Amino acid sequence: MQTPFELLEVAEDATNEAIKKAYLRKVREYPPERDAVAFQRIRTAFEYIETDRRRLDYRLFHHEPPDVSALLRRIPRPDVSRRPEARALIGAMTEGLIAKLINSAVRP
Amino acid sequence: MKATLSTLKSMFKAIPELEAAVREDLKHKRYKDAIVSLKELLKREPRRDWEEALADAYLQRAGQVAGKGMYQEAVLLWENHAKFHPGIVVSETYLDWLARAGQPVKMTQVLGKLPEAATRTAIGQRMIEAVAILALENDSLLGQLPQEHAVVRQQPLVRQAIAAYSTGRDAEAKTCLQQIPSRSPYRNLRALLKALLVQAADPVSARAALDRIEASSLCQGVAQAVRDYVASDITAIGGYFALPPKQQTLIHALNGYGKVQISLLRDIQKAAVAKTSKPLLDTVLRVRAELGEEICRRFCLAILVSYPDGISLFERSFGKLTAFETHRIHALHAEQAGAFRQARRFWSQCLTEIKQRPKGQQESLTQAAIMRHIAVMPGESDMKVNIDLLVGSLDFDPDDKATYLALIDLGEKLDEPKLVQTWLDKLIKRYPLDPEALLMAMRAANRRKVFKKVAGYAKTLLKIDPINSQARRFLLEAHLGHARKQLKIRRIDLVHRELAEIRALDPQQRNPAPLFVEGLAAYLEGQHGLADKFLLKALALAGGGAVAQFQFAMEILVAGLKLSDLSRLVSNLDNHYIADQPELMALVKMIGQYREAGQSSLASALKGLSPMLKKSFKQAVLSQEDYFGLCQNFADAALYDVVAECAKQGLRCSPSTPGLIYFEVLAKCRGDASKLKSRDESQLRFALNAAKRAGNHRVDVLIINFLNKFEESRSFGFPDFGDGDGFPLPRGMPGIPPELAALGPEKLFEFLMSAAEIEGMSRRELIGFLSEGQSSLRFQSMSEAQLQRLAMDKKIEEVFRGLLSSHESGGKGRKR
Repeated sequence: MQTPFELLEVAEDATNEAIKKAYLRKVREYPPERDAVAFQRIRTAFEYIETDRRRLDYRLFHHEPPDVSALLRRIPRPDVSRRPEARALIGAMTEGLIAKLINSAVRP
Repeated sequence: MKATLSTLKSMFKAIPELEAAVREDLKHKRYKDAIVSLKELLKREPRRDWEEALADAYLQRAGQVAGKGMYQEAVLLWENHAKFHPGIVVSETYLDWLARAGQPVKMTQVLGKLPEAATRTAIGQRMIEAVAILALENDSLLGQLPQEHAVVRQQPLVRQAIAAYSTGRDAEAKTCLQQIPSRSPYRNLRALLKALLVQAADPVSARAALDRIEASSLCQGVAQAVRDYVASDITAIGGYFALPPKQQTLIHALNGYGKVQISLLRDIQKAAVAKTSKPLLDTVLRVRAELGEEICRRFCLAILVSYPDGISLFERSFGKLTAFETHRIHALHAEQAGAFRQARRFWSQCLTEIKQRPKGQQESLTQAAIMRHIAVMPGESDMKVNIDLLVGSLDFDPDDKATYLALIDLGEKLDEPKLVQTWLDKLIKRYPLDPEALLMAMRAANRRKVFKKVAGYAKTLLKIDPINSQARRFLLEAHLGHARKQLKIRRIDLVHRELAEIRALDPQQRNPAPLFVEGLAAYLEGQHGLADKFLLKALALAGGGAVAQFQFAMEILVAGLKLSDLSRLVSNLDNHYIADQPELMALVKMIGQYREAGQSSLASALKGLSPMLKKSFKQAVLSQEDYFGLCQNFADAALYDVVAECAKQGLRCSPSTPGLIYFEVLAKCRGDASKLKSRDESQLRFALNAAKRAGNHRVDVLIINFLNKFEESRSFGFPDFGDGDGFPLPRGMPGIPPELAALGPEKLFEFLMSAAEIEGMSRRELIGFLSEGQSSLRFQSMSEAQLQRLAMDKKIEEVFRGLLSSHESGGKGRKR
């Protein structure tokens, strides 16, 4: 999970005005009628850090469970340009294929 | 062995006997035995009907064994069945059994022999796609298909595209993919390969290519993994860890992970699914150099809230946490566990820590925030503690409007008008131009009938928000209220001033009340002609019916005049006038408005309307709910004659309605519980039981409250035992009347037990009753049905004896 600051792409010491500006920019990017879920996330993030007091409350009382996904994304990628081997690609394709076929087929 | 025995038995049977056995077996779905008998019959004589029967028995038996998961046997039986029908079209069921039996080679062979049209079904397409993909790994499958089959013809192109992609020859890969037709069995694989080719440079095109993969395609699993990878979300804990091993390997390759990174990934994966947070904390602390210190520090801090025992481990890696931070973590942990008392303690320790820091704005705000947080935390029964905390927080952060509002809210919850007013005053002083504060202050002033203040707040609010309808309404009401006040003390000049203000606010004069006031003012000034004009206009504006008459009467009485003074205008309703349901409801609403405004002459104002109301209750089409609502409103206005008539008519339409029985009794007592007669009391108890049975909580509560008041008025609720004078009342047991206490523990206990039995009280309830001295009301309703349930209980006896002996006799018992 991203923090509200990360989601709105503002610094943790940003002013109320900067936060509001960032929020409006994000809303323009994800208007509710186009992406309701993203808009809701942005709105919630804004409500967490909208004012000085809310930011203080967020820092003091808000607890986000540890985000394993965020951690995994930080695993270094030493050789991104390397392509999967043909065998690995075919292996991934055929893995569990019969089971998938069976699951999708009609039962006798 | 069983089959062999069965075969042997068949050999010795005559044909008719065998035929009969077949019929019997088929009838009872014993296809296995039927097959044996039919085979024997066919050995003796090749007959077409027996062949048909055998073919069918094979098919039925195949279905039976497939149902048991024996797919290989099912395949063989289906093939036996097919022998009797040369040229039979292979069924999808048979292909499915082949797949389930793990016979892809045979499945391919069968598919290869099928006409193209037969594979155009959804299942057929998936099977062809499966064969096409499997053939990339298993060369022998291709040999089962005719050379001209699309899978065989196009496979070299696909192989070449994959090889080109893997070795970075992207142009060649693209060329190969372009040559694959759009209806090819490899079409979904082609889209997947295209997505892989472009994902690094153009994720949007990659996503579009992935979206072209058919929903039913067998490529969807890998496509989803690639889709997540493209969205940088492949490492999402649910997605990545759920992938099968070879697909995980593909993602490793796409990420460019080497052995170290894969091992890191696996370690985290393993720790993340552990039951406690310790392995995860250990792992992240160990690998923090690879992942980055800051993110690991934040991650571990987040773990500490659910695993505060790891604080020392954390500190060894990232340095000592401040005492404040440690207490904060413990407090959050306690909150998560629902241990709010403990959480309060830790937050208090946080406050102690801040106090030791040099004073600064941030420290003050933090202190105030923590105090507010503790004040709204569940688990504190003493509201005063919360109030003190909130008040204290304002010393550190006097600009927090929410705290003022919370204090007002608490005051309202505790029903402490003084507290509410104090904080409202402070709120409005601090935020004189805040709409929310102004609205609250306006409402409160209106409740206290301080009209000048209401008007002041409303005017300020209208300056800020000129279209605020509430402010406009309050302002109008304030001027009207003030005009009435001035009219009563005969300051007619001031009445006119207020009326001018009202006219400015409502130039269209939609409200009849100011016109009534204006007419009465003219009357008091001796301008009777003008008064009539205004009053008739007001009556017309009010609808001219019962509501208008009531409003007029009310305004006369509020102005301190007598109804007889204006009798030529009052009660000019036709003798046959009947108010219908909407008008009655409107009248009730109007009564409510005057009652809320604190007017006390409601009964007098309604006196003239009483005959009309009685007629209306009789003739108007009213539901049970309508009668109840009317009774309730008239009762609230203490108009008991009207209530009596309304309840009477209601009961005529819906006899034995508990709510209406209650109002009938209430009206008889004129709302005074002490006047309850014994016959009415039993009627009320009957209504109470009926309401309980019907789950009518609203009526249930009304009756219980009334009976409780009745009990209180009697001082005690047990039947009279002698004159009772001078009997001691045990202190601390207000529910035990002195007469009973004087009976002595033995007899008193017997009496209570009987009463409890009859009332249906549990032993636990009786103990509670005895120890808390609750009202004896519950003992009044006695039914024989529950009598048998309660036996003498030693525990109750002990409690009771203990209670009675522990209270010395003291004071004189009150007389009934």
